[in-house]
Amino acid sequence: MSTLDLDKLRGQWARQTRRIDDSLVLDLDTVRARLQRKVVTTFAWHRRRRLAGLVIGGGVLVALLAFMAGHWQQGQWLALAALLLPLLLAELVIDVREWLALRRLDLTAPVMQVRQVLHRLRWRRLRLAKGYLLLSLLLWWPFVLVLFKGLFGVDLLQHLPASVFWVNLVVGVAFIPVAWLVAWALDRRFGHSPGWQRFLDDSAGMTWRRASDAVAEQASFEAAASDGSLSEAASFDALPEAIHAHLRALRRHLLLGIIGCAALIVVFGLFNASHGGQPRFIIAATGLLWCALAHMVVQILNRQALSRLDGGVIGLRERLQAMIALRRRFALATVALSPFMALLAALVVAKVLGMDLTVVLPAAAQIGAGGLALVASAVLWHCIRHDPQAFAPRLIDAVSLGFIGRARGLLATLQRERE
Amino acid sequence: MQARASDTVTDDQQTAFLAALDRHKALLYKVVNAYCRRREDRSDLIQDMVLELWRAWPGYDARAAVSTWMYRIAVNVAISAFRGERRRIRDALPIEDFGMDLVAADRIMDSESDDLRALHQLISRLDAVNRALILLYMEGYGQQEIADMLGISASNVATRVSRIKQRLQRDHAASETSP
Repeated sequence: MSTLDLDKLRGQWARQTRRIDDSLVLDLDTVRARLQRKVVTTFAWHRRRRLAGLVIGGGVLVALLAFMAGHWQQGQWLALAALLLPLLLAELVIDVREWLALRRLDLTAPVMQVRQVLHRLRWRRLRLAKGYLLLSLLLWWPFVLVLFKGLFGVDLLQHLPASVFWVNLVVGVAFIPVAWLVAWALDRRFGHSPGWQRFLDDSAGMTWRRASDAVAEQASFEAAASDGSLSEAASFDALPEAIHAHLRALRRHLLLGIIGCAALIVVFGLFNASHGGQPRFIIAATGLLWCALAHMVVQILNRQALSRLDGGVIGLRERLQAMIALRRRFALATVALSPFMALLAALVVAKVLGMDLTVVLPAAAQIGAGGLALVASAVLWHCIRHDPQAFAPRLIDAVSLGFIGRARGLLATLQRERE
Repeated sequence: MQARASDTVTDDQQTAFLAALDRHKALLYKVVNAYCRRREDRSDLIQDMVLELWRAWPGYDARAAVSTWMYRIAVNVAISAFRGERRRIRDALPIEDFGMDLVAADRIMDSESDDLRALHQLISRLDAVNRALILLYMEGYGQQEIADMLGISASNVATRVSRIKQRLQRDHAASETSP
């Protein structure tokens, strides 16, 4: 077994550098012409984007302050607008600091110093996104009220019962610790997952978008290097058109799923706006809304993973397997919770049809239905735990909106192409 | 803040910059090669490096070694690309149209001894900062110079180099014994 003596290899390294220097041809006239063109470098692009954000954010701030000045005597409107102010100010402060930091960024500085600056920028942006997430249910209602009042002069407070406001306030406040816990658990579970990091970056509206790509590329490269299959990994570009077509079809399929979930979210949001004054309905519709949201997030993650072309065949195969596993887990959880979801859906649909099941059905029937759902969920959960792999594959595929079957089909095609 | 090179640099300075770039183009190639695998990414990254070097050129202090200055910028740009903090350069050209042909250099890399090829492969498994560190070490920079470029202490450099050597040794042994 040979050893790798770095000190000895330094001589070879220097000779290699000289040979590369000799072989690399640099057409100075072409580079000169290139330098003379106004080229937007990537950091300059970052700064422009931040500047655009600042202009838009500044405009919104001015509009909000004007709204507050115009409703100075109306305590409730002033309070509603004031609720939105801290988040907007935080956004602006972060935009300004980011823009200044990027303007001052000196790439001739030591590497760790540059890393610290960029890391701080990303961290601040993610913290703001977390703030948005935690306060989203609390602040969406004041936002809608102020927006309608400011833009169209419509006073929704006059048109909706006061209970709508109070229920949204209570649910919004209660949501903060729940969302914090969920975010903490997800971060603990997926903290090191490139897909999760990418999702966080996208959620934060970051321009640091390629982070997870690079990490994933690195991971797949390492995997490929360690099993000696770099040549296979590098052969992604040489994949037959059939695979690319399959990938495109799968992405389209996921996009349709995302649009479907988004439509459901809008429908439940509208339902909440109409019946939000009654806690039983807002809780039911919010439960369904979160279910749709969770499925939408998973589909977005899947689609992002499929949009990446790094890692070659091996990377694609690994991503597909990871996606199938994730979708299976989600589908199994959805099936286990489906009896409860069915109850919530029945409540919402009946209300849309003009019937309040909590009034129509006697208390005993309601308790019975709840108990039945509990037992059904427990039985389903037990069956799933007993043998998760064999549990109703067709049902699980259907709950994943056909994704699992299609992804497996693509995996099989990849395998055939390899052979 | 760096001045905009295109606004302030004279023709003579531009010629000096291009001459420096021409003298040290292998340096850019090696850094790019350590951080990127895909051809189009390498092409983007090399153009980004050249443009950032060009932007920073007015601030270059001629008393310092140009290769050290170039290394520092190239590594900063490469790590940013590696960590995804830079988006793909908007109007990147095919590398051939940029006036640089990487194919010949790729051939040299491929034709090197097994140990050197293995080393390049093992380096690409390191994290971004350690990768820069070992590149600088292999280029023959001293501990203090590497420390200044990376912004860590010289003793930290020594510790890291020692650990990286052990890791490379271990990985190399593992890759040799694996079927």
